[in-house]
Amino acid sequence: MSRARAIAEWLAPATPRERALVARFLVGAFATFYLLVRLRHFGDASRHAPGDFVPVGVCVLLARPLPAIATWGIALVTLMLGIAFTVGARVRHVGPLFFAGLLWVMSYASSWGKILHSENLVLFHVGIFAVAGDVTNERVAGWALRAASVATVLTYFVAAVTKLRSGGGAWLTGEALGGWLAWDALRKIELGSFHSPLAAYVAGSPVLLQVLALYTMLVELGAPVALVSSRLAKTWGVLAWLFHVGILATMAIGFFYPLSGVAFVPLLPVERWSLLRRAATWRPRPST
Amino acid sequence: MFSRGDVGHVNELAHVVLVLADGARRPASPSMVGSVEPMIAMAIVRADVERGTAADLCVAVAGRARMAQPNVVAVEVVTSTFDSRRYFSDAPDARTPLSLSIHARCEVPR
Repeated sequence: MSRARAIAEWLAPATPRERALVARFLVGAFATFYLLVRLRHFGDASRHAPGDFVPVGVCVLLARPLPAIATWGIALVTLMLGIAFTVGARVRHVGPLFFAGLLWVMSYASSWGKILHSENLVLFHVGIFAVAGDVTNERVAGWALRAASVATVLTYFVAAVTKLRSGGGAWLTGEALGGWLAWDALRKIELGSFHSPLAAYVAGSPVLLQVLALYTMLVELGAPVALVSSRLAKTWGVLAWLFHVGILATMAIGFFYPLSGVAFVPLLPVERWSLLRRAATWRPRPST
Repeated sequence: MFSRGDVGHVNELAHVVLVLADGARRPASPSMVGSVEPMIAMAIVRADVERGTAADLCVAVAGRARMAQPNVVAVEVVTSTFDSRRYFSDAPDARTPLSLSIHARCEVPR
Protein backbone atom coordinates (compact mmCIF):
# COMPACT_ATOMS: atom_id res chain seq x y z
CA MET A 1 0.00 0.00 0.00
CA SER A 2 1.39 3.42 -0.91
CA ARG A 3 2.04 5.96 1.86
CA ALA A 4 -0.65 8.30 0.53
CA ARG A 5 -3.17 5.50 0.50
CA ALA A 6 -2.17 4.43 4.00
CA ILE A 7 -2.71 7.99 5.23
CA ALA A 8 -6.08 8.18 3.48
CA GLU A 9 -7.04 4.84 5.02
CA TRP A 10 -6.10 6.12 8.49
CA LEU A 11 -8.00 9.36 8.03
CA ALA A 12 -11.16 7.67 6.73
CA PRO A 13 -11.17 4.01 7.77
CA ALA A 14 -14.17 1.89 6.84
CA THR A 15 -16.20 2.03 10.05
CA PRO A 16 -19.70 0.73 10.85
CA ARG A 17 -22.18 3.46 9.96
CA GLU A 18 -24.15 2.72 13.14
CA ARG A 19 -21.13 3.75 15.24
CA ALA A 20 -21.19 7.26 13.79
CA LEU A 21 -24.98 7.46 14.16
CA VAL A 22 -24.78 6.48 17.83
CA ALA A 23 -21.94 8.99 18.40
CA ARG A 24 -23.94 11.73 16.66
CA PHE A 25 -27.01 10.86 18.73
CA LEU A 26 -25.07 11.08 22.01
CA VAL A 27 -23.21 14.27 21.06
CA GLY A 28 -26.48 15.88 19.92
CA ALA A 29 -28.31 14.73 23.07
CA PHE A 30 -25.57 16.12 25.31
CA ALA A 31 -25.39 19.46 23.50
CA THR A 32 -29.17 19.86 23.55
CA PHE A 33 -29.49 18.88 27.21
CA TYR A 34 -26.63 21.24 28.13
CA LEU A 35 -28.37 24.05 26.26
CA LEU A 36 -31.69 23.26 27.96
CA VAL A 37 -30.25 23.13 31.48
CA ARG A 38 -28.36 26.41 30.94
CA LEU A 39 -31.05 28.06 28.82
CA ARG A 40 -31.30 31.10 31.10
CA HIS A 41 -27.51 31.51 31.03
CA PHE A 42 -27.54 31.42 27.22
CA GLY A 43 -30.77 33.31 26.62
CA ASP A 44 -30.75 36.03 29.27
CA ALA A 45 -27.84 38.49 29.26
CA SER A 46 -29.80 41.18 31.13
CA ARG A 47 -27.80 40.55 34.34
CA HIS A 48 -24.74 42.02 32.62
CA ALA A 49 -24.01 45.73 32.25
CA PRO A 50 -23.71 46.68 28.55
CA GLY A 51 -20.23 47.98 29.34
CA ASP A 52 -19.12 44.43 30.23
CA PHE A 53 -19.72 43.26 26.64
CA VAL A 54 -16.42 42.08 25.14
CA PRO A 55 -17.44 40.14 22.02
CA VAL A 56 -15.44 37.01 21.20
CA GLY A 57 -15.45 34.57 18.27
CA VAL A 58 -18.26 35.09 15.78
CA CYS A 59 -19.77 37.75 18.06
CA VAL A 60 -17.03 40.23 17.10
CA LEU A 61 -19.52 41.18 14.38
CA LEU A 62 -21.55 42.94 17.08
CA ALA A 63 -20.82 46.50 18.18
CA ARG A 64 -23.20 46.30 21.15
CA PRO A 65 -25.25 43.64 23.00
CA LEU A 66 -28.39 42.26 21.37
CA PRO A 67 -31.86 42.92 22.82
CA ALA A 68 -33.28 40.21 25.08
CA ILE A 69 -35.87 39.13 22.49
CA ALA A 70 -33.04 38.27 20.08
CA THR A 71 -30.88 36.38 22.60
CA TRP A 72 -33.87 34.37 23.87
CA GLY A 73 -35.08 33.77 20.33
CA ILE A 74 -31.72 32.47 19.10
CA ALA A 75 -31.30 30.24 22.16
CA LEU A 76 -34.80 28.74 21.79
CA VAL A 77 -34.46 28.15 18.03
CA THR A 78 -31.07 26.51 18.65
CA LEU A 79 -32.68 24.27 21.26
CA MET A 80 -35.33 23.16 18.74
CA LEU A 81 -32.62 22.52 16.14
CA GLY A 82 -30.71 20.49 18.74
CA ILE A 83 -33.71 18.23 19.30
CA ALA A 84 -34.10 17.72 15.53
CA PHE A 85 -30.35 17.04 15.13
CA THR A 86 -30.39 14.50 17.97
CA VAL A 87 -33.25 12.49 16.52
CA GLY A 88 -31.66 12.66 13.06
CA ALA A 89 -34.36 14.72 11.33
CA ARG A 90 -33.15 16.35 8.08
CA VAL A 91 -29.59 16.31 9.42
CA ARG A 92 -28.05 17.65 6.21
CA HIS A 93 -29.86 20.96 6.73
CA VAL A 94 -30.50 20.91 10.47
CA GLY A 95 -26.91 19.95 11.39
CA PRO A 96 -25.16 23.07 10.04
CA LEU A 97 -27.94 25.30 11.41
CA PHE A 98 -27.66 23.71 14.86
CA PHE A 99 -23.88 24.10 14.77
CA ALA A 100 -24.20 27.76 13.73
CA GLY A 101 -26.76 28.40 16.49
CA LEU A 102 -24.67 26.68 19.14
CA LEU A 103 -21.52 28.52 18.00
CA TRP A 104 -23.40 31.79 18.28
CA VAL A 105 -25.02 31.26 21.71
CA MET A 106 -21.82 29.87 23.25
CA SER A 107 -19.71 32.70 21.81
CA TYR A 108 -22.28 35.28 22.98
CA ALA A 109 -22.35 33.81 26.51
CA SER A 110 -18.54 33.96 26.56
CA SER A 111 -18.57 37.63 25.52
CA TRP A 112 -18.95 38.98 29.05
CA GLY A 113 -15.38 38.65 30.32
CA LYS A 114 -15.20 34.90 30.97
CA ILE A 115 -14.59 32.44 28.13
CA LEU A 116 -15.72 28.89 28.91
CA HIS A 117 -13.11 26.86 27.00
CA SER A 118 -14.70 23.67 28.28
CA GLU A 119 -17.51 24.18 25.74
CA ASN A 120 -15.16 24.04 22.74
CA LEU A 121 -14.99 20.26 22.38
CA VAL A 122 -18.73 19.64 22.25
CA LEU A 123 -18.95 22.41 19.66
CA PHE A 124 -16.21 20.78 17.56
CA HIS A 125 -18.01 17.45 17.74
CA VAL A 126 -21.37 18.94 16.72
CA GLY A 127 -19.62 20.68 13.82
CA ILE A 128 -17.99 17.48 12.61
CA PHE A 129 -21.22 15.47 12.72
CA ALA A 130 -23.08 18.36 11.08
CA VAL A 131 -20.64 18.20 8.15
CA ALA A 132 -20.95 14.40 8.02
CA GLY A 133 -24.70 14.89 7.39
CA ASP A 134 -26.62 11.66 6.88
CA VAL A 135 -23.46 9.50 7.20
CA THR A 136 -24.21 7.85 3.89
CA ASN A 137 -21.52 5.15 4.02
CA GLU A 138 -18.71 3.56 6.03
CA ARG A 139 -16.08 6.02 4.76
CA VAL A 140 -18.10 9.04 5.90
CA ALA A 141 -18.58 7.32 9.26
CA GLY A 142 -14.84 6.67 9.38
CA TRP A 143 -13.65 10.22 8.74
CA ALA A 144 -16.26 11.76 11.03
CA LEU A 145 -15.31 9.53 13.95
CA ARG A 146 -11.59 9.97 13.23
CA ALA A 147 -11.94 13.76 13.15
CA ALA A 148 -13.97 13.76 16.36
CA SER A 149 -11.42 11.46 18.03
CA VAL A 150 -8.52 13.71 16.98
CA ALA A 151 -10.42 16.72 18.38
CA THR A 152 -10.86 14.97 21.74
CA VAL A 153 -7.21 13.92 21.89
CA LEU A 154 -5.93 17.35 20.88
CA THR A 155 -7.83 19.18 23.63
CA TYR A 156 -5.86 17.19 26.21
CA PHE A 157 -2.53 17.22 24.40
CA VAL A 158 -2.63 20.97 23.76
CA ALA A 159 -3.53 21.57 27.43
CA ALA A 160 -0.43 19.61 28.50
CA VAL A 161 1.88 21.40 26.07
CA THR A 162 0.53 24.78 27.21
CA LYS A 163 1.01 23.82 30.87
CA LEU A 164 4.64 22.83 30.25
CA ARG A 165 5.34 25.92 28.14
CA SER A 166 3.90 28.32 30.70
CA GLY A 167 4.70 26.55 33.97
CA GLY A 168 7.60 24.31 33.02
CA GLY A 169 8.85 21.98 35.73
CA ALA A 170 6.36 23.31 38.29
CA TRP A 171 3.67 21.26 36.56
CA LEU A 172 5.81 18.11 36.91
CA THR A 173 6.68 18.56 40.59
CA GLY A 174 3.11 19.31 41.68
CA GLU A 175 3.98 22.85 42.80
CA ALA A 176 1.80 24.49 40.11
CA LEU A 177 -1.07 22.09 40.78
CA GLY A 178 -0.90 22.85 44.51
CA GLY A 179 -0.91 26.57 43.82
CA TRP A 180 -3.98 26.30 41.59
CA LEU A 181 -5.87 23.99 43.97
CA ALA A 182 -5.38 26.38 46.91
CA TRP A 183 -6.04 29.55 44.91
CA ASP A 184 -9.16 28.12 43.26
CA ALA A 185 -10.62 27.07 46.63
CA LEU A 186 -9.69 30.40 48.23
CA ARG A 187 -11.30 32.54 45.56
CA LYS A 188 -14.46 30.41 45.57
CA ILE A 189 -14.78 30.89 49.34
CA GLU A 190 -14.28 34.65 49.00
CA LEU A 191 -16.71 34.77 46.07
CA GLY A 192 -19.35 33.10 48.24
CA SER A 193 -19.43 29.93 46.15
CA PHE A 194 -19.08 26.21 46.79
CA HIS A 195 -15.55 24.81 47.04
CA SER A 196 -14.15 21.35 47.52
CA PRO A 197 -13.39 20.48 51.16
CA LEU A 198 -10.58 18.25 49.84
CA ALA A 199 -8.70 21.14 48.17
CA ALA A 200 -6.84 22.40 51.25
CA TYR A 201 -5.83 18.87 52.29
CA VAL A 202 -4.52 17.92 48.84
CA ALA A 203 -2.79 21.29 48.34
CA GLY A 204 -0.96 20.73 51.63
CA SER A 205 0.35 17.28 50.71
CA PRO A 206 3.47 17.37 48.48
CA VAL A 207 3.30 13.60 47.93
CA LEU A 208 -0.32 13.68 46.74
CA LEU A 209 0.41 16.72 44.56
CA GLN A 210 3.37 14.97 42.96
CA VAL A 211 1.28 11.87 42.18
CA LEU A 212 -1.66 13.89 40.82
CA ALA A 213 0.61 16.12 38.73
CA LEU A 214 2.27 13.11 37.09
CA TYR A 215 -1.14 11.52 36.52
CA THR A 216 -2.34 14.76 34.88
CA MET A 217 0.66 14.75 32.55
CA LEU A 218 0.19 11.03 31.81
CA VAL A 219 -3.42 11.59 30.74
CA GLU A 220 -2.85 14.82 28.81
CA LEU A 221 0.50 14.15 27.14
CA GLY A 222 -0.42 10.52 26.59
CA ALA A 223 -3.75 11.33 24.88
CA PRO A 224 -2.48 10.55 21.33
CA VAL A 225 -2.08 6.84 22.23
CA ALA A 226 -5.89 6.69 22.11
CA LEU A 227 -5.61 6.98 18.32
CA VAL A 228 -3.37 3.91 18.04
CA SER A 229 -5.80 1.09 18.83
CA SER A 230 -9.26 0.42 20.20
CA ARG A 231 -7.83 -1.18 23.35
CA LEU A 232 -5.58 1.81 24.08
CA ALA A 233 -8.51 4.14 23.39
CA LYS A 234 -10.61 2.37 26.02
CA THR A 235 -7.79 2.41 28.58
CA TRP A 236 -7.01 6.09 27.97
CA GLY A 237 -10.73 6.97 28.05
CA VAL A 238 -11.08 5.42 31.53
CA LEU A 239 -7.93 7.21 32.78
CA ALA A 240 -9.15 10.54 31.36
CA TRP A 241 -12.60 10.08 32.89
CA LEU A 242 -11.01 9.38 36.30
CA PHE A 243 -8.89 12.51 35.82
CA HIS A 244 -12.10 14.55 35.57
CA VAL A 245 -13.61 12.80 38.60
CA GLY A 246 -10.47 13.87 40.47
CA ILE A 247 -10.88 17.48 39.31
CA LEU A 248 -14.50 17.43 40.46
CA ALA A 249 -13.52 16.01 43.86
CA THR A 250 -10.59 18.33 44.55
CA MET A 251 -11.64 21.55 42.79
CA ALA A 252 -15.44 21.26 42.57
CA ILE A 253 -15.15 21.94 38.84
CA GLY A 254 -17.44 19.82 36.70
CA PHE A 255 -16.28 19.36 33.13
CA PHE A 256 -19.61 17.82 32.23
CA TYR A 257 -18.86 16.73 28.66
CA PRO A 258 -16.00 14.39 29.60
CA LEU A 259 -17.66 13.48 32.91
CA SER A 260 -20.74 12.31 30.98
CA GLY A 261 -18.44 10.08 28.90
CA VAL A 262 -19.77 11.52 25.63
CA ALA A 263 -16.45 13.31 24.89
CA PHE A 264 -14.83 9.86 24.52
CA VAL A 265 -17.62 8.22 22.50
CA PRO A 266 -15.97 8.81 19.06
CA LEU A 267 -13.08 6.60 20.24
CA LEU A 268 -15.27 3.67 21.28
CA PRO A 269 -17.33 0.94 19.52
CA VAL A 270 -20.56 2.35 20.96
CA GLU A 271 -22.76 0.69 18.33
CA ARG A 272 -22.32 -2.59 20.23
CA TRP A 273 -24.79 -1.34 22.86
CA SER A 274 -28.04 -2.38 21.26
CA LEU A 275 -30.16 0.10 23.21
CA LEU A 276 -28.04 3.01 21.95
CA ARG A 277 -28.01 1.62 18.41
CA ARG A 278 -31.79 1.31 18.40
CA ALA A 279 -32.22 4.82 19.84
CA ALA A 280 -29.85 6.35 17.28
CA THR A 281 -31.36 4.62 14.26
CA TRP A 282 -35.02 4.71 15.33
CA ARG A 283 -37.42 6.20 12.81
CA PRO A 284 -41.21 6.39 13.06
CA ARG A 285 -42.95 3.84 10.83
CA PRO A 286 -44.72 5.46 7.90
CA SER A 287 -48.47 5.29 8.32
CA THR A 288 -50.22 2.86 5.95
CA MET B 1 -8.71 22.49 31.70
CA PHE B 2 -6.12 24.59 33.51
CA SER B 3 -3.39 25.38 31.02
CA ARG B 4 -1.61 28.24 32.67
CA GLY B 5 1.63 28.60 34.55
CA ASP B 6 2.30 28.44 38.25
CA VAL B 7 -0.12 30.84 39.98
CA GLY B 8 2.08 31.02 43.11
CA HIS B 9 0.61 31.57 46.58
CA VAL B 10 0.11 35.36 46.85
CA ASN B 11 -2.65 36.71 44.61
CA GLU B 12 -5.11 39.57 44.28
CA LEU B 13 -8.86 39.06 44.08
CA ALA B 14 -11.52 41.64 43.28
CA HIS B 15 -14.69 40.68 45.16
CA VAL B 16 -17.74 41.99 46.98
CA VAL B 17 -18.16 41.88 50.76
CA LEU B 18 -21.39 42.20 52.75
CA VAL B 19 -21.06 44.03 56.08
CA LEU B 20 -23.56 42.73 58.65
CA ALA B 21 -25.22 44.66 61.50
CA ASP B 22 -22.87 43.09 64.07
CA GLY B 23 -19.81 44.17 62.04
CA ALA B 24 -19.14 40.71 60.63
CA ARG B 25 -18.12 40.52 56.95
CA ARG B 26 -19.42 37.88 54.55
CA PRO B 27 -18.78 37.32 50.85
CA ALA B 28 -21.59 38.33 48.49
CA SER B 29 -22.83 35.29 46.58
CA PRO B 30 -22.16 35.13 42.82
CA SER B 31 -25.89 35.58 42.09
CA MET B 32 -25.92 38.81 44.12
CA VAL B 33 -23.03 40.05 41.96
CA GLY B 34 -24.79 39.15 38.73
CA SER B 35 -24.23 35.51 37.77
CA VAL B 36 -24.68 32.10 39.37
CA GLU B 37 -21.26 31.19 37.94
CA PRO B 38 -18.51 32.24 40.40
CA MET B 39 -15.92 32.81 37.66
CA ILE B 40 -18.32 35.03 35.71
CA ALA B 41 -19.15 36.92 38.91
CA MET B 42 -15.42 37.39 39.46
CA ALA B 43 -15.05 38.75 35.90
CA ILE B 44 -17.95 41.19 36.52
CA VAL B 45 -16.29 42.59 39.67
CA ARG B 46 -12.88 42.83 38.01
CA ALA B 47 -14.36 44.63 34.99
CA ASP B 48 -16.19 47.17 37.19
CA VAL B 49 -13.06 47.83 39.25
CA GLU B 50 -10.92 48.29 36.11
CA ARG B 51 -13.54 50.53 34.48
CA GLY B 52 -13.98 52.68 37.57
CA THR B 53 -17.67 51.73 37.94
CA ALA B 54 -17.37 49.85 41.24
CA ALA B 55 -19.86 52.29 42.83
CA ASP B 56 -22.55 51.22 40.34
CA LEU B 57 -21.91 47.56 41.09
CA CYS B 58 -22.01 48.32 44.82
CA VAL B 59 -25.48 49.89 44.52
CA ALA B 60 -26.75 46.97 42.41
CA VAL B 61 -25.48 44.39 44.94
CA ALA B 62 -26.90 46.45 47.83
CA GLY B 63 -30.33 46.33 46.18
CA ARG B 64 -30.17 42.54 45.81
CA ALA B 65 -28.74 42.10 49.33
CA ARG B 66 -31.62 44.08 50.84
CA MET B 67 -34.07 41.52 49.45
CA ALA B 68 -31.97 38.43 50.27
CA GLN B 69 -30.37 39.18 53.66
CA PRO B 70 -32.14 41.52 56.12
CA ASN B 71 -29.11 41.92 58.44
CA VAL B 72 -26.79 43.40 55.80
CA VAL B 73 -26.08 47.08 56.49
CA ALA B 74 -23.43 47.87 53.87
CA VAL B 75 -21.70 46.52 50.78
CA GLU B 76 -18.06 46.97 49.81
CA VAL B 77 -16.38 46.32 46.45
CA VAL B 78 -12.77 45.48 47.32
CA THR B 79 -9.52 44.07 46.02
CA SER B 80 -7.85 41.80 48.56
CA THR B 81 -4.40 40.24 48.48
CA PHE B 82 -4.37 36.75 49.94
CA ASP B 83 -1.66 34.23 50.76
CA SER B 84 -3.25 30.89 49.90
CA ARG B 85 -0.75 28.91 52.03
CA ARG B 86 -1.55 30.98 55.10
CA TYR B 87 -5.28 31.05 54.27
CA PHE B 88 -5.65 27.31 54.86
CA SER B 89 -3.33 27.20 57.88
CA ASP B 90 -4.42 27.02 61.53
CA ALA B 91 -3.36 30.62 62.24
CA PRO B 92 -6.15 32.58 64.02
CA ASP B 93 -6.15 35.35 61.40
CA ALA B 94 -5.39 32.99 58.49
CA ARG B 95 -8.21 34.33 56.31
CA THR B 96 -7.44 38.00 56.85
CA PRO B 97 -6.14 39.54 53.60
CA LEU B 98 -2.53 40.68 53.50
CA SER B 99 -3.84 43.97 52.11
CA LEU B 100 -7.24 45.40 51.24
CA SER B 101 -8.25 48.18 48.90
CA ILE B 102 -11.86 49.44 49.06
CA HIS B 103 -13.10 50.70 45.67
CA ALA B 104 -16.65 51.47 46.74
CA ARG B 105 -18.81 51.30 49.87
CA CYS B 106 -22.55 51.84 49.98
CA GLU B 107 -25.19 51.53 52.65
CA VAL B 108 -28.05 49.09 52.17
CA PRO B 109 -31.31 51.07 51.98
CA ARG B 110 -33.93 50.16 54.60
